[in-house]
Amino acid sequence: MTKQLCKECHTPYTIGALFCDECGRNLLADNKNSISDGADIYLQVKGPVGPPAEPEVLASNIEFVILNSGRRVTLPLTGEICIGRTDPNRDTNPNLDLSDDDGATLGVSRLHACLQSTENGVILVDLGSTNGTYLHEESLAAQIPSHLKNGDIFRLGEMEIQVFFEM
Amino acid sequence: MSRPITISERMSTKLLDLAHQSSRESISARDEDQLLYLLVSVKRPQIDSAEYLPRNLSLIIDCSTSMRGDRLNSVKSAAVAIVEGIGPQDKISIVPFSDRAEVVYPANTVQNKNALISQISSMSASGGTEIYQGLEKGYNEIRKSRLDSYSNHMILLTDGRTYGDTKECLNLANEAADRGVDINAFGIGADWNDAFLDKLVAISGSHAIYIEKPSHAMGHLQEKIEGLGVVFASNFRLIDNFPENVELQSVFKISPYAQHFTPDGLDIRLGSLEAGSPLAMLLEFQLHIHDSTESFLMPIKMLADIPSKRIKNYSISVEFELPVSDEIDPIDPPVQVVEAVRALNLFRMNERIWRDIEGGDIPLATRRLHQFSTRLLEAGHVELAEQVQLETERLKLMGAYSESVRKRLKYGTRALITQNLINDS
Repeated sequence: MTKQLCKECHTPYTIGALFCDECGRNLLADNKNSISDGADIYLQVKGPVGPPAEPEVLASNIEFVILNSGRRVTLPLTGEICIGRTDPNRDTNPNLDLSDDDGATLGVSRLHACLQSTENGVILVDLGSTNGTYLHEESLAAQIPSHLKNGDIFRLGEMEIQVFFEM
Repeated sequence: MSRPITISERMSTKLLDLAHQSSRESISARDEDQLLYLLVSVKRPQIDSAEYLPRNLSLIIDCSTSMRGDRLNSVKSAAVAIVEGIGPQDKISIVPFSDRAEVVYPANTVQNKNALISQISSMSASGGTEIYQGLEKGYNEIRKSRLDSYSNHMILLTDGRTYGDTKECLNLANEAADRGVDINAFGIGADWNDAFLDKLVAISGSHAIYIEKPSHAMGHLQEKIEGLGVVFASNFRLIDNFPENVELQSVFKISPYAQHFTPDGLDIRLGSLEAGSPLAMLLEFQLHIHDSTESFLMPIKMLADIPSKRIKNYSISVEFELPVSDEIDPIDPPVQVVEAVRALNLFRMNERIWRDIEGGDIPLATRRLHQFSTRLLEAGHVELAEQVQLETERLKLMGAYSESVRKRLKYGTRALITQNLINDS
């Protein structure tokens, strides 16, 4: 059975609900005066916060430019790319390890954030980091996805990273 | 929203007026469950001061060691103010308790106020906290009068937690509620067990009030006692007996104060109707309407006692019908319903955050606090939103909350989110 989703936190809600149970969003504002059958907000297209990404983001690789150190890393955009610092004691092995870029000093958590390719574009999610993840200098709430565009710069604690999508 | 408010049905009875507004004007037959909100309010059509019964109050005062100093002094001052303000027909009893209780003033009218005031002034603090000891003695004093000739209330003031007697306290609250005696609780400082006191008072449809600073006790108590003096109908019960395809999920009382009830199949006790403010509540129903030929009839039934008329189980009921169709029904609820549902939503968000914090999930609680602050801002509660924002930052840094902050936000939110609704309803 399909259910409608809150446009903000993507939690399913029951027909007749006026506010999202999870994030408190006023659902009437979304479905002005009607209950929509709109397939675009059904469960299977669970997507992130923010405007939809541009079509160009159907990239196969992503290049990370770590602005603090100048290092460049290219990774395939399949599945989830976890960013943080390797810690053998705690068995954390992020796909993009920022230990050598002075990550600890710059406030990067062991599991800080992750990137994911979805059919609606690339998303960035803060994983509950200690010093926060910032996109366009706005702090991201933990576990809430945000769209990333080609050339965007995001910040993990005090570390700045720019991304480029490669076709 | 500028849509004119339509009260779909209004039923005038001789003694009480019942009005309701629905979140929907029709129901669609669907395979999935649906929600329906009803805003129900009960008023007295005309108010006549001769309709009110004298009060029969028992002040049950925690005098355990932790009350020593400012706390007990403030409570004593508040008790003195109450004694000075009660009418010649009102009865009062004074029951200080710690791990035992005594009756320093048995239930009676007050002939010599000075003598009673000096008795109150001589109370001192020592011993542990066993709330049942105080409740039992206070209830016995209340019962010495003909209950149907008075408006009967126990007033519990405590700063602590009770040990090993919560079950007895809840049993007593049930018995008292059955006889039309309610329990009103005031929690002083940060240490009292709010979950227990909330439960204790909810049995009679009453509520717990948080007194952060002892010096605030006087104002809160006087306000409460004045309200109790103008009770027209008491022991309101919503009869939880709805059709099979309707499930009552939640009852959120919004006037005269905010209180949430989770239905458990039994009748829901909603407290009293005080003069000046209606008894108003939001009902949340889950509907299972799968067949468009079904007619949807919703009966709402309440019972109340009207002591001044010596009426028990006065029945107020209304039945309303919503059309059922295969069409997708438009949702354009009256603004009062939207605001009441918003208040319920804020209330739930607030409660969920405290459960997250108690469960130790600080990252989740922090995220929810952030959302909560945004919603408060949207609802126009700027000051509370800022306070929540501040506490969110503190929680992020410290990873924990202080009890006083938790209680301030919990009870502050409850009071604030319904303030506008109470004034409007």
